[in-house]
Amino acid sequence: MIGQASSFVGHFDGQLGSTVRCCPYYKLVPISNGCPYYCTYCYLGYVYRKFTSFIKLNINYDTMFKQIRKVLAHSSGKVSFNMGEMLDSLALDHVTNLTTMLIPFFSDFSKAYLMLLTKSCNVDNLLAIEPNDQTVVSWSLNSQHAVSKYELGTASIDERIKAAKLCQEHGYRIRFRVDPGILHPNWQAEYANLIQKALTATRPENITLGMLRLLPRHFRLAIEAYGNRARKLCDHNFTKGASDGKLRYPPKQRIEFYTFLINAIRSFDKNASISLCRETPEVWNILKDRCELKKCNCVIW
Amino acid sequence: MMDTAKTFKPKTILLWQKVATHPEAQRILDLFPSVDVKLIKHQRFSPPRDIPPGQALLSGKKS
Repeated sequence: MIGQASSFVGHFDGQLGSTVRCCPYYKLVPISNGCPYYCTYCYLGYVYRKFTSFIKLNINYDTMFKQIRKVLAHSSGKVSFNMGEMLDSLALDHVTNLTTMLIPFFSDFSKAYLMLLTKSCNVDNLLAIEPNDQTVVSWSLNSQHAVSKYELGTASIDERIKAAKLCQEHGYRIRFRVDPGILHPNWQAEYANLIQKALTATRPENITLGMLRLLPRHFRLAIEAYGNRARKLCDHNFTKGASDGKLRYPPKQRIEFYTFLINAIRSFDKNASISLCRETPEVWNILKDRCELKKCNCVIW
Repeated sequence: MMDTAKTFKPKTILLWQKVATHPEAQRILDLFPSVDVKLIKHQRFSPPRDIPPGQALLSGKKS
């Protein structure tokens, strides 16, 4: 759908209930209601279910830029505009050309940052323009097994890492987000292979880790949409109790997963910046000495 | 597997009538010359009741 938005910018205070936290930032939403990919676990389908999940391009960009300026006029300190929370930042960039407008726009502000997050290798626009320190490009990574089973239509891991390498060589700040981690047969070897490939080719400034988490009703919607594929994804003993209401793998399994990935990353770069995102205090407390607090892929610091 | 982003071709584009003559709308439409364009009066409407939400989620990706 081609239309307009009245609000492109929404503030997120970083709180997901009483104990699950992220960092505060502004969500930037020029494209709403979904994306062309078919990720089994994607929460956008659930979030937008009442509006029909067609992809909506909001083309009143002048309003978007006014709203960003307004936020900055009333802010002190660094402000992150996260364009990867409610959409894949680059999947439709060849249609919208949004990055060719937004990246130069942010170069005019010393304390405003544009955070892009993608599962695509759609970087032609990024490579055609001048990068700046105000823009951070992140790739959502997963094991190739998880990509093949649960991220249909997205770029392969090799394609994503190649795109990240090209962007880093062009001068962009790059990061990785291994999220949602998924426990599947042979996950250790698959994720070790992912880390090996990613860190052999690139030097990301941060790697943020997270694991599968879904609201119970979202599970039901995913099964209705994706059938056996979603049933298999959901075939675990998930636990309740997190303050964001989402089901997760049991803490013991999450700690095992994060510890494995942290060790794999550290074996390549002992000083790598590693963070967790949207985890519970009990997991944070176990891993707090091995991860960086108040730093994650969602924001600048 | 290959990234399907660049091969994305909507079957239908719903065009909100208030932006129908906007140059950016025309530019985007020109990228998809064979698309079925439907002019709509309202941007917000409820999903059809005869289509289950899961099916609507998938079919919505085509427009």
